[in-house]
Amino acid sequence: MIRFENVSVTAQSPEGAARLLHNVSFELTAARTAIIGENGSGKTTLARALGGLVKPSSGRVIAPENLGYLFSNPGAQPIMPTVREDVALSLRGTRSGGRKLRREEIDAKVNAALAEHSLTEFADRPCHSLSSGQQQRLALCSILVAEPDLVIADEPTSLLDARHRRIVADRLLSPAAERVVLVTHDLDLASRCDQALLVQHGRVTAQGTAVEIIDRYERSLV
Amino acid sequence: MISLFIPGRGPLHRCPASVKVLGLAVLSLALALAPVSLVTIGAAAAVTAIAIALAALRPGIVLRDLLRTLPFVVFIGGTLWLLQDGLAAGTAAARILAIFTLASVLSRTTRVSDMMAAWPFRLSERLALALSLIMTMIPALLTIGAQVRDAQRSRGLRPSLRRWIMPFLVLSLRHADDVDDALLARAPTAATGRSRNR
Repeated sequence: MIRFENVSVTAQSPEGAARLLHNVSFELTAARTAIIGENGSGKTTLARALGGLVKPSSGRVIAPENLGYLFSNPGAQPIMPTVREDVALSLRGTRSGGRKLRREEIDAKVNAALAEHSLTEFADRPCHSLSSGQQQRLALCSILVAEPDLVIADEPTSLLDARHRRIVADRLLSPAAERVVLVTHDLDLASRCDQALLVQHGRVTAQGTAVEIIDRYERSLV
Repeated sequence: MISLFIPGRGPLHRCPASVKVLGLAVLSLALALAPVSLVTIGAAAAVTAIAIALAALRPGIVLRDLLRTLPFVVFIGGTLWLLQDGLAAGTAAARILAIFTLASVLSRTTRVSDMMAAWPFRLSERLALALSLIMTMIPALLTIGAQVRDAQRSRGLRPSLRRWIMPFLVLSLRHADDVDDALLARAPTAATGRSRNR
């Protein structure tokens, strides 16, 4: 279950406390949800609160513990020195059938994940030496390899070329995939979701089917 | 002297990580304890040459790694020359060069994850993660430093340490926050050991 109950998020700034989210309440039932809204409206803060990256100043967030969060800046995502090691980190300590995965099992899963995201040729390259688009694919690969119950992706296709944008969108939004919450300015991508939230000035001002909410958002821009 | 793994098929690439870690420890200790003498200088030179040969890396990589150690070698050697004599300076310089070369060859021919899985690091998953983070942090900080320099050049500012240090520190601290978030961003495993802000 994914639910926000009167969630507010406050951040300290030189001018004093700034409220980034105001008493936000909603429940997500669909498998694929898009969060849309203008720059600075609070989309990313909402997603970070959902992902447990920021603690609400009041209210309660209910979300699966086994989730992966994809940053809008993929350069901030790698933890380990090389591509292969970074993907393998997500599997360290993972259990399958009541026991920890063996080294060979981790290697096999990592190789399959690298191949799926066209990263095999970069396996032994330092993460920081990849291009932005390659880093975005690596970030996605590192998150998905752990098979989370929920993926929160902040602008997951913003740095990708057309081919990889299509591949990543198809992978994230495939019916068989894990539950997904997308923060995006790409309304074509958002329209492929089942449900959408419109965020304006730190509040969720509309919730409904993706088509309805995108239409409402576009009309509000005119 | 922390370098990054380079794929290869040389003898040291095929050697188990635990043997290499143990070899580094034993040889470093032996070189550190060896007396000040021409024999020690010769042994250190031989260890350096053999390690380079067994690593079978491109000469440019080895040369670059050796050049990085040069300031330390010159400083220590020069100081000892002034305070003691040429033999003490030569022995210290040869020891440092050999130990740095062994460490460099180890990290160039061994993945961090293999090294961490090897004894004695295997004892602690958290220690392994902490060491890996340090290895990742170095190129990240170099990149941040270059970004600050480029941003200053793009505004027509001349390079200045005073103007460079403050944005570098701010961005480095922000990067540390990003790394913390990156640990939280993964699905929870024993390896990351972080719990979410709920």
